[in-house]
Amino acid sequence: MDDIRKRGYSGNILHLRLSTLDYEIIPTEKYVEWSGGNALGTALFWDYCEDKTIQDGRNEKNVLVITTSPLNGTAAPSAGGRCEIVGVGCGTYPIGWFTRSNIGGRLSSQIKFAGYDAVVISGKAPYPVWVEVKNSHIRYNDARKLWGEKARKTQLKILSQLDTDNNGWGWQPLPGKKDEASYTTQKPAIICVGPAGEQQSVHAALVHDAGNTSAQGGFAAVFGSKNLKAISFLGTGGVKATNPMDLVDARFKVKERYAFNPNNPDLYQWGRLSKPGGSNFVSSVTQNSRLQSCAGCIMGCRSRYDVGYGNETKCQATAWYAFFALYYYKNDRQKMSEVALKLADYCNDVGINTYTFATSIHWLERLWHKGILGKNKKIHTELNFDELGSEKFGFEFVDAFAYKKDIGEFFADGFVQGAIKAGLEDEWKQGYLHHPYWGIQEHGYDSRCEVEWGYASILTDRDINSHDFNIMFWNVNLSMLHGTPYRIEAGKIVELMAEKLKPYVDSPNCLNYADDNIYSDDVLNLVRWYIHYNRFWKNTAQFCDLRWADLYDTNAPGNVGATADEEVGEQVYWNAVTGEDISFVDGLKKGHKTFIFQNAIWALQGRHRDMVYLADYIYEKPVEKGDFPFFLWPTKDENGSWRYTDLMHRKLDREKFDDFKTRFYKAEGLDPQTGWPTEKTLKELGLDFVIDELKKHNKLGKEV
Amino acid sequence: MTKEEAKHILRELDFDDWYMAGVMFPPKTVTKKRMRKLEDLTIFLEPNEKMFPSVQLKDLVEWIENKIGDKQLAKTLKDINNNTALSYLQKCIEFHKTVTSRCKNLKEIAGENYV
Repeated sequence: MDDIRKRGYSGNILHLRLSTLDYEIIPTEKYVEWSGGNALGTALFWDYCEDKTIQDGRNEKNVLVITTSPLNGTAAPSAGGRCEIVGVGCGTYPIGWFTRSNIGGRLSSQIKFAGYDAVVISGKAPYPVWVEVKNSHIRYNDARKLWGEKARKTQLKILSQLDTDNNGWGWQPLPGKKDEASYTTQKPAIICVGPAGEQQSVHAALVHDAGNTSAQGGFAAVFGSKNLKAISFLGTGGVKATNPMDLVDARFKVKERYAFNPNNPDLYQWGRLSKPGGSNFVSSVTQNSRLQSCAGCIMGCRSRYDVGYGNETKCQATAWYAFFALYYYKNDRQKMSEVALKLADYCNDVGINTYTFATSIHWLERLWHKGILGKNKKIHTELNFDELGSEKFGFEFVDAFAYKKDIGEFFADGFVQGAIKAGLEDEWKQGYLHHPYWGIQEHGYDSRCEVEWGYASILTDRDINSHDFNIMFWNVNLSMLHGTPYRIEAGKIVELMAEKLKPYVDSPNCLNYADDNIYSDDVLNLVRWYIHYNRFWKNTAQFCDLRWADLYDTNAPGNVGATADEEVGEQVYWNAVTGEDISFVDGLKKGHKTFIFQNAIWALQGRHRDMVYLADYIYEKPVEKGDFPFFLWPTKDENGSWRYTDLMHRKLDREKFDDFKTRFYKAEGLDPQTGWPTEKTLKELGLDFVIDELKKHNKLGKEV
Repeated sequence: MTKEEAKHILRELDFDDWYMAGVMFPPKTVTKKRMRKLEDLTIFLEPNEKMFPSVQLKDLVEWIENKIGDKQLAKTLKDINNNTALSYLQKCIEFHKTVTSRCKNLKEIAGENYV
């Protein structure tokens, strides 16, 4: 065994060449400097995608990379089960950026157990295929009979096909073994598309098991465009840590310091790591359920139910239709839960992104009542929005998008794209369609109040979807909602958090969300930390967003969070597994490097700073009523006193954000005139190999 | 109050006057639903352990006063909202009781079979 396999890596990268239905094995050693996950995926994309100017992920030249982290398959807390996917996506406006997504479950651990750290997918298969990976055995299978199947049946049929001895017990024969006893009880982990992915709708989601999906980025449409129905991974190997006892010690320490008492959980706990596990958003239809989690997770954020539906569903999937159903069924909460969970199940089965519906369905309802959407109207539909809330309408609505028919066909490339096509661009610009960044839906947190979310989303490539600071919003606002005392006062919480952000910030003023501070250098540096933290610790090392970053935590002495802690911080697990000796800040620097690398790809794709702006309504209209009762964030007054302040009714200043952008580019080492990476920055970060390609396309930034 | 006045308050409004209300599923998300008429609030404001009303109560009172046209109810709700001893959720519970009771009375005035 060589060194790399003792450091959390499996040693190989699998390159699936779909056009010729063959593959190659690349030694991970060549790429180990990229650590894993997002960074590794970016490097592989750079090397294997010959044309980096493509603007839509469904282009045959696109290369998709599924990547793992050294921490996947280990006991690192809530980092063992995530899996990163990168490539050129589709659905963002005006360009389908090189982007990322993430999926949980057992996928990344099975990929590693099979012997791989990443899977590069290039070309386009001549006909629909699914790929079987059993350790070193790789095989392309004809998927024409699977084409059209939903995710559940696709996985069942593949499992059935893999079970070649038809023993029916789910025991998988190991390839190359003649001995009848050579079976594994491992269950393959399958990632697949349903009908929506086959239709190449940008709203499609990749699906693994029952409720793990990868939706942002539109990578399921990329699968569909490549005639790729599914990949099944089955591995019998393991993951070796360099210093396993360091990993175990840190796990015990983090448990002692942060774990909640299951017999007496603190329901008003503040922080992330020690938050009790949860389930779906709507009331359960049954009490008979148990929590379910991704591989190696300390939480359990989903459930399995005895009713046979809603299994492993979570988050927006269970919430987006629930309240419509509650009204339609006249306050029958049992029926609401049943409809919401069944529909969540169905969305996962057809492989569709429910986040895309969360804001858009209200807009479509508006168009219906305005006479713009309807039978033989400007946008034709056979759907009857007067039945919005019924089980029947819910399924018909999802079907339209899954099978790209009716309005699902009209909006198949995105809602903003559809609005423009229909001459309804003003509906977006005026904020009736809440899509603030890159033409995609707001996550639920308005950029005019929660500025770091909006800034980081528009300065990268998609909805940042990272709740590092957002948790403070929930903790504070729920306290206000319940009328309970704040567990941590504003002046203290900003000190605790700012301490974690050093050396990027030098004062808690970075968390001053007052109108006169949201364009300051302090906030700018917080945003830089936010992006760099995500690019490395979350997207590359793959710490789960539901637990990390832990910037404060009321379960721990002094309310100090686990992030960056010398004994239980992210870097402790990384070092224990990889044998490296990096600091938490070293990880942030790696995140910076990856971010600049990705800026180079975006430049090649056609990005210029002039297109980096939030939707017009963010600058022109104050936050509308109805989203939240209040939007409390810490602010500092002229006397230096901190308090939680309601930021409702705020809008952003276009010129001030533009100036913020200029300073951000300078701080990152990007050309402020264009936003493109400069030669000096690329050389300093060890990205010299990018320079020639940028020069060739006249996309190299001028020195600051 | 006359039968016609009661029916007027209970009527479904035109689309432009519907009230967009947030529904909070803590601690993760907020979804929305348009309120078409006063009685919609009896469902929206009902206490529930997994989802909470997510609106600015002052705006909601203004909607009742100006769009629904029930100034008497708006006055009562305004007083509840101004009670600084109550938390937001306690106010929602009081709003729910008050609106539910008001709708029941209005329906009685409007006629037994009023829907």
